[in-house]
Amino acid sequence: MAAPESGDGNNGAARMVTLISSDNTRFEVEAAAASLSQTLQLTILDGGGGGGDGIPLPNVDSATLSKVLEYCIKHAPAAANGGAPNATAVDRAELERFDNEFVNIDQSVLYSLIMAAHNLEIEGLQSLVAKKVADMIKGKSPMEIRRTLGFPDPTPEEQAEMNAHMLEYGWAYE
Amino acid sequence: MAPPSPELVDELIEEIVLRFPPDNPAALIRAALVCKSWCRLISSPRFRRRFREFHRSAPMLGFLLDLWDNDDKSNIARFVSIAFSSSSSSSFPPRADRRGFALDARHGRVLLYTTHPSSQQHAPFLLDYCFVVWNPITDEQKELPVLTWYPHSPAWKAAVLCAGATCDHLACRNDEPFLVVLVSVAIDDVFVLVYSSETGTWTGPTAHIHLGPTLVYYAVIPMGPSLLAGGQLHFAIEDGRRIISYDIAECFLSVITTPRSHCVGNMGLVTAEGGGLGVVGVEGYKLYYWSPVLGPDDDGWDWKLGMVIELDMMLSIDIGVPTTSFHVVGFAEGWDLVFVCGSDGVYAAALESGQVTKVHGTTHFFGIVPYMSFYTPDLARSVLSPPSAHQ
Repeated sequence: MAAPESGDGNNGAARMVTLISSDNTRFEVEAAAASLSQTLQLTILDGGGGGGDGIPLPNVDSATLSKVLEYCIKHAPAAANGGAPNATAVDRAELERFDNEFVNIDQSVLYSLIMAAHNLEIEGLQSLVAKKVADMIKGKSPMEIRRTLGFPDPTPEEQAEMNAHMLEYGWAYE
Repeated sequence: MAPPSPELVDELIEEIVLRFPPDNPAALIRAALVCKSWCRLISSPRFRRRFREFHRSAPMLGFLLDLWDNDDKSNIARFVSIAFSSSSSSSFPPRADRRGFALDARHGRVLLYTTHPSSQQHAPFLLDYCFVVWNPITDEQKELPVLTWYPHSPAWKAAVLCAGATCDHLACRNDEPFLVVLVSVAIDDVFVLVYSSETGTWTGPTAHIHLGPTLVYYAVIPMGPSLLAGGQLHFAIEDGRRIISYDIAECFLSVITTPRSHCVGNMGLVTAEGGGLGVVGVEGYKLYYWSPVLGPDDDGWDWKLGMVIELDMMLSIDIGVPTTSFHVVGFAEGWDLVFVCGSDGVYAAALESGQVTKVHGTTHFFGIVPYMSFYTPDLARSVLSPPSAHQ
């Protein structure tokens, strides 16, 4: 996957880096976008990821990495502006629209995404997915939260404890 | 191909639960009951500290309504939790009605003016009232000693506030010291008395000011609960024509005049943008908001008319009824929220957005005092409590 050419009018093409997913797919992306990841930023600053070498990411599969990079490419220009002090309201609204649509995806992808954002230290992405998962589970009962997140069913002992708590905190369940 | 759901590490669980709405304690309780590790995590002092740092301003968990209990023929203060959806009736543990009046609430505590418990046996017919400070989260209360210099004047108001030197006031602990400030207006003089929980005594008058020529005597009665802004407690008097301000650190009283308007008699105080003192008033179907500006001669306050909310345009209720009127009944300190009472209930008007939402269906009440605090579960101790001292 290639990133679009840099449009910032600086001297020549933007520096590109190559990332390699756990299933050995190579992704070429602008260094600025990849640098949204605190982990990758260090490697890139050290000159890594360029030329024929790629940066291997053994914890991230290609489907997830593709999604992660979609987020990074979209957010890179705003991040380059040092957050968003110069961003116009239109830019901010556009990013917000993008974010809302971006997390409107299958739950299993959300979990892979938040794990990847955590491992790669992409704060904005981690925060975005965490908010989405919070919205998904905040109105649910403990049992529903377990099912939503794919936890195994509680043991009889755990179940008994949950039942006791439900009596004690009945007001929180109504 | 989607990978199987990975087990979310504790750090990510914390990031997720951190983003729960702070005004819905029930959601935090339910999350804490998912499993032992979630319970440990949500009950930890670390999470409680991060939760309030993340959300920054204490949420409104509910409000106290001063009501008349017709069965008991007495005044009661009822804690009404903010309901979130039709499926959740309450997000706060049920609390018994308190006898008496809720006067003020701040920093997690509610100031009640209630019948002396001992008087009920001996002299139930006497108006033997006392101040009680109640924490709805822990459901603990403390009765204050009876005042020796009693506010004989019917024109007085009292306020409660945390006095913890290092407290951030987002979730004040029960063991933090507190102050109760009593402002009493006698004819055209104002006196202040202060109770400190550290000394356990009332002192004062700590400050006095002469109001000068006042309007008719009854109009001096302070209106609504106090507003804490800029280190001062503010009380509206004279139907909203003037405001008495008490500087807590300096023990100093001052008086300022509110903007001239036709809203007199239907005014209230509100936290202005930037945390200062603002004034609201209703005339007809319009809610006006004034924010403070420096006066032309640099000699004090002046007011600038800001937002005007057309209540009739914002509400779907049938206000075509000629008897419909709106009254300012309260405000949420630190928020840009004003409560107005209409013909069918209480509405909260947000000054910045102009949004008006119905919060309660009663019109038969004497006062409304919003309650703001963080409320995070501590299931390790099997109780709900504000953050402990050890963090």
